[in-house]
Amino acid sequence: MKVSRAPFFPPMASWLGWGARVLLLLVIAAALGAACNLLRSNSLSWLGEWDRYIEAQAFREHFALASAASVQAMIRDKTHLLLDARPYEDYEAGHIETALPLPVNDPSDSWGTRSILTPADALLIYCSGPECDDAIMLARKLREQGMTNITLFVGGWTEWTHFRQDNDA
Amino acid sequence: MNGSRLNPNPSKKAPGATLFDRLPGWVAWVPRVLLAAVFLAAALPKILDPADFALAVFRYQMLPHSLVNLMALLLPWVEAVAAVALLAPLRCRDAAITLMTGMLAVFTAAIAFNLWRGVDISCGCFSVNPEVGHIGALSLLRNAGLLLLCAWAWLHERASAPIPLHTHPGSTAKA
Repeated sequence: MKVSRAPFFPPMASWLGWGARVLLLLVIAAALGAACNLLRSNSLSWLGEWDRYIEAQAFREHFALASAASVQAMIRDKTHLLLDARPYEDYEAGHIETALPLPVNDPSDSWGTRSILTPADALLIYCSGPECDDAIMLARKLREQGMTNITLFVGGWTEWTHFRQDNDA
Repeated sequence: MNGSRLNPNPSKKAPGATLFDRLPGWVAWVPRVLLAAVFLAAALPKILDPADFALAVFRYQMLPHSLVNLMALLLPWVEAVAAVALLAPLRCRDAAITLMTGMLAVFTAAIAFNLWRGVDISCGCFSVNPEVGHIGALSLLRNAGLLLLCAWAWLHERASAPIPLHTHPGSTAKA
């Protein structure tokens, strides 16, 4: 007798039932997620305010903030030591003038940047842009190590390149 | 459900199914239990600390900002519900495997994309601590292994599925 077997993909008729079961699980998950968030004492807002998250966090943690124009002044007046918190490859591909690399996630410090820092230094830290938090994470680490004069350039490399293009034009 | 509507004898296994039909019943539970354990372990820290998980989602820099919290609040529950459905004696296992496969595919793509563009972030997979579990090739390998487990579980589901009427031996129904 010729035998048949269940196909790897179910026939069209059972797709509706399969889709309904997937939808059912999603509805159960959404209901549980909503109920849990409503019952939680520190519930999370459904629409987060992430557009200026890094700036808000820096403000909350009492880090000074710098604009691109003030970064230009810092470079001109040599008032701050600039630190690039991005990975070495990004730094080597392009960085703000006079900045030294100190990737937040690379403990090797192969450029020896960390060894020249002293608590008296005024530091300006940046990373790739307003959505990257490498700069603020590096700032926290350096503050724990005794650095007190730390400024963040939240706009980072993205804002700096735009600023330079606008000013060179 | 569908099977009982289509098949006059839903308890009958698909004849001719080879390897997966001949294996002892407990073998089918190996991928189910492993997947359920992994997804529950992944869901729990995110459910307990949605704010930190939202930060992990934000750091992937892939979603519109308005969707970050929504994702952080719902995704862990999808993981948990899929894990429970995979173990429960309900006919929802195929749906659970589908959801798990879909989530793993999205997670793998997100990790690969961030590795490609050089963003060094924590995975947010089994911990919401931003200092641990950074993404890397191992994360991709782990997800590939989990996708294989999903395929294994899916093959068992298909092998144990009731035969639709139009494919049943002796049936006169048209497909």
